[in-house]
Amino acid sequence: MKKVVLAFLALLLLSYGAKAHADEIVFGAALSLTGKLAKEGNLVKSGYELWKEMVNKKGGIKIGNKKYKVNIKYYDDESDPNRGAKLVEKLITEDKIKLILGPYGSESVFATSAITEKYGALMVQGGAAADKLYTRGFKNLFGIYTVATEYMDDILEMLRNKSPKPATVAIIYSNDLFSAQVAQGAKKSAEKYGYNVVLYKDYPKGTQDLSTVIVEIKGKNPDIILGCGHFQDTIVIVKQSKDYKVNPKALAFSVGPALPDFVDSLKSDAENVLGAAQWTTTLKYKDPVFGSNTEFVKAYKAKYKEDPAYHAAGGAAAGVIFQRAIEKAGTKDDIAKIRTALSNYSEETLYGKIKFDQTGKVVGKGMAVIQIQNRSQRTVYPEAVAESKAVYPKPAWK
Amino acid sequence: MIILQILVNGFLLGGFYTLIGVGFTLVWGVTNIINLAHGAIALLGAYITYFIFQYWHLDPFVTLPVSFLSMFLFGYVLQRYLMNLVVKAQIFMLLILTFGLEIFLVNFMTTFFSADFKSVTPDYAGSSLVLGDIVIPYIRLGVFAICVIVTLLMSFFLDRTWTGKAIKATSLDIEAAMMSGINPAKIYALTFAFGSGLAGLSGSLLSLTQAFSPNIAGGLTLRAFIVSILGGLGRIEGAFLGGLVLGVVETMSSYVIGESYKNAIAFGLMVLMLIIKPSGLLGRKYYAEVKH
Amino acid sequence: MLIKKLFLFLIFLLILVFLPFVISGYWLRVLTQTFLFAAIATGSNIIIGYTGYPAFGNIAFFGVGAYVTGVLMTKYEMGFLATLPFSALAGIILASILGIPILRLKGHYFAIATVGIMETIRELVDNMTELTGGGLGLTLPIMQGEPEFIYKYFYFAMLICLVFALLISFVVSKIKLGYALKAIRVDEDAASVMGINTPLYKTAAWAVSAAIVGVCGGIYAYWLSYIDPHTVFVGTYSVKMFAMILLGGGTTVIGPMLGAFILELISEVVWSKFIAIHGMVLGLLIIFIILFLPKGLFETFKGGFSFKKLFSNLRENKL
Repeated sequence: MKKVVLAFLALLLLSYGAKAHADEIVFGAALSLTGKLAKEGNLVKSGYELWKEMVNKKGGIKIGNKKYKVNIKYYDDESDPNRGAKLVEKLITEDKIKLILGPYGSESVFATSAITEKYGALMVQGGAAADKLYTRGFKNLFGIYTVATEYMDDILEMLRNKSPKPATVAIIYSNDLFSAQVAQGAKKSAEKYGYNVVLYKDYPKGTQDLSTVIVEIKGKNPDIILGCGHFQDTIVIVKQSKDYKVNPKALAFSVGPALPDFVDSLKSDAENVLGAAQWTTTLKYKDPVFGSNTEFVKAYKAKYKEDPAYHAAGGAAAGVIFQRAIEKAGTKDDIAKIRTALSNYSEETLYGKIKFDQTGKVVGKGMAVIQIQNRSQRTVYPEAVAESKAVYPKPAWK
Repeated sequence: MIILQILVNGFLLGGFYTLIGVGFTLVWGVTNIINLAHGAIALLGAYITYFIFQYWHLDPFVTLPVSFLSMFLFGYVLQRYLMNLVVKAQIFMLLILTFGLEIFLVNFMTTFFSADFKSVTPDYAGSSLVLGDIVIPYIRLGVFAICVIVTLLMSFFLDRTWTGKAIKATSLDIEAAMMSGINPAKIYALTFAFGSGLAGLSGSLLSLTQAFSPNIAGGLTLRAFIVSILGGLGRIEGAFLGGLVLGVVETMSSYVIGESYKNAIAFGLMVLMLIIKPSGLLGRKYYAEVKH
Repeated sequence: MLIKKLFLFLIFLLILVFLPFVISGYWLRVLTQTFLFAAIATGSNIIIGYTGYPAFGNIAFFGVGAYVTGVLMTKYEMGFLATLPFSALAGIILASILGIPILRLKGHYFAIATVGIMETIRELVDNMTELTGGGLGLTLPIMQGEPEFIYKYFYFAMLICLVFALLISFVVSKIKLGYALKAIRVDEDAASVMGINTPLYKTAAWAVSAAIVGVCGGIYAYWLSYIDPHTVFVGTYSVKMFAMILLGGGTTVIGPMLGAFILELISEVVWSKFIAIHGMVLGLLIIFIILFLPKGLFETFKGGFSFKKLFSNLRENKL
């Protein structure tokens, strides 16, 4: 017992904070580097790292006439939001960091932003899209993802003007916070644009077989199928739609087609599938740090030997926006001033034209619509940035 | 007509469930180990098929023996040099041990193969046999056929070969088996090897019909649980029946009650089975129950 | 001997009571989490360690407790503390109803039945969207006040919960129930023959255990302020809890708590240094515990450390 008490105290003493150098600005991030969100967490981290590298190569963040190097302190939340909250607490109280780069995933941002809010620290996040994040009256959270309820709006808007004009929509969604909100928004958008929603159905998160749902959809024969779920569900839906010869005029997903693995997994079956994308590699935006989105993609490819996914771009963009706000505020310590700079922020970045409303969520950015054509993701909407024309109606499965 | 299609889907799905359950139930029945790492081992098999397909473009069905044999060896070593060391301890020690193994394997796969979802899609994926209004995808039909063949082979092996009989004898009465010259350490290792090999096989087939990542390991193990409980411990035919029942119940309940309830119904069915008839639909007493 | 132990425990407790005034928010949170696990492990140990029934899915009651508190606070606008008795009650009722049929099962069958129950309840909660928010989760009212105050509040709430759990566990071990449970653990048939009403005692043990775990869930829900089915019906907590009980020793009152402290603090301090591979390290650690320390750290090394003791389990249980 005595030994336990001693060992326990010794463990407590083992904790100590990292010391910041005078000429650097330290950001903190508690990301999912292991566990079920490890992939996305690591992508976001790659984005942060690339941004850090780029800024430091250019001398650092400029405040007045002095340039400060960027340093980022990372922790792993093991894909557990509660652990993430604990670690952000550690970043703020132990490491004395008040500039927090967000984690990936709505649950994690939800839990960790409550901590930053309590301590008056700032969080800029490029990793979560739930509407719920912005209905809590928080002042210190800024997010650059278009929110879940607007995810499918652009796809439905695009399809409305195609001929033969689609009239019916089937919406299926995974029963989790993000997907359910995407589906709610999709249903609202569909009704707004005058579609007839013939099927609106949820399925358990992480399900491995959807044959019954697919057969039901086949019975309704809708013009558009909207899948609001996660990568694995998307794969199952595509495979089983082909298995059971379900041939809608358009097959669209909230998550999946925008990820590079999508084509790898489905090969030619991925052709002509539509997807909503927060961001794509081909968008022609300018960027204050990287120069342009194209330059960002080039730099990313040079460093990581692969195309960036939107998670990585979101991470880099969050860094860029944080940096620009600090530069505009002209201080690295006065949180209130930086917050004001973020509230008034309006600039074109690699992620699009970023502007926040008073709840801290990005407004007017919209979603790009992509389609798999010849095994690569092509931006097909909005027309101003489109690389090619959308294939519609989708040819029947071979 | 839709009902008939859903019934067919249920049987095809059940074929896969059988395969995931058959190795699990064998190990449980004979060695009394609930192998919580079963799903993780299945995924190792899935990765073998995936990598061979990705780099050498070999047909996934051709890779089945590779994944069976590698997991067979892996299972043998695991039982012989790890599990056998503490096999006589309290049963839930072994339960936790296999869980430690599961955590290790899942994280190993996440570290080295990444947490990305993978899937194997050969050119013929999606082609189907059409009989009137009923559609039967060839791949699922292939999976079903393999499952039937494997089930038959396994029961033939257990009933007709010396090793198979030794396994059965050990499962029924370990002391008597030892007296007749059977080395239980080897038999246990062999049984676990078969269980793992079958898991690997089912993983390879899984890679064809859905996307997988290390994180679905637990879900696969749970399905194997349900199949074993429904069918009755240690019985190959039991796993077959259990798999089909689970497949049909899942698809039917998903149609009649709602897709989102299908997991609740599958687990509820298992709990109900445990309450009403823990020995399963085809149950009989095995070593596992006699001793504990 | 007991006096000395009690004295040491009181000193330990006293340190814990004063710690929040010297340590930072982060460590407060770590300790709060540790108390949570310690309380869950202590509560679950009544059925697992005392009675010898491996309730692998005992976290089901944690989830139920969390949702009872969550639903009562949001839909019926009850105060937080007022909901906790209901969380406990929900655990008791559920364990009593399920206990009769489920506790007839032994060993693996029981373990699996509890897992099945956990999964079934989670799926049902997931589908009761009207009441529980389903997959959308449930947002509890956020506690008002300074962050410092809120952290201390939950720290002490969890600490009190842990002390209660220990007290209940201690009392159970000293009354007739405790002796009956021990008899059941050693040989249930014999206990039955001796006239012990085994179904009654087993169910009572499970209900007590469920009540404690349920209250833990209730506090956790309010602490986290957002719950969804997958964050409170979480299988990995079951495993952690089991590893803690094993490490600390399941036949004692304080064993599970010590196991919780060791595992949680090790994970906090050591594993944060092995970010990429700590999952593998956790797996190996569990395998290590089972191979070498199945009776728990303290029981195995009673009277000093030796390698011989480390390998005794392998000698005894090898095939």
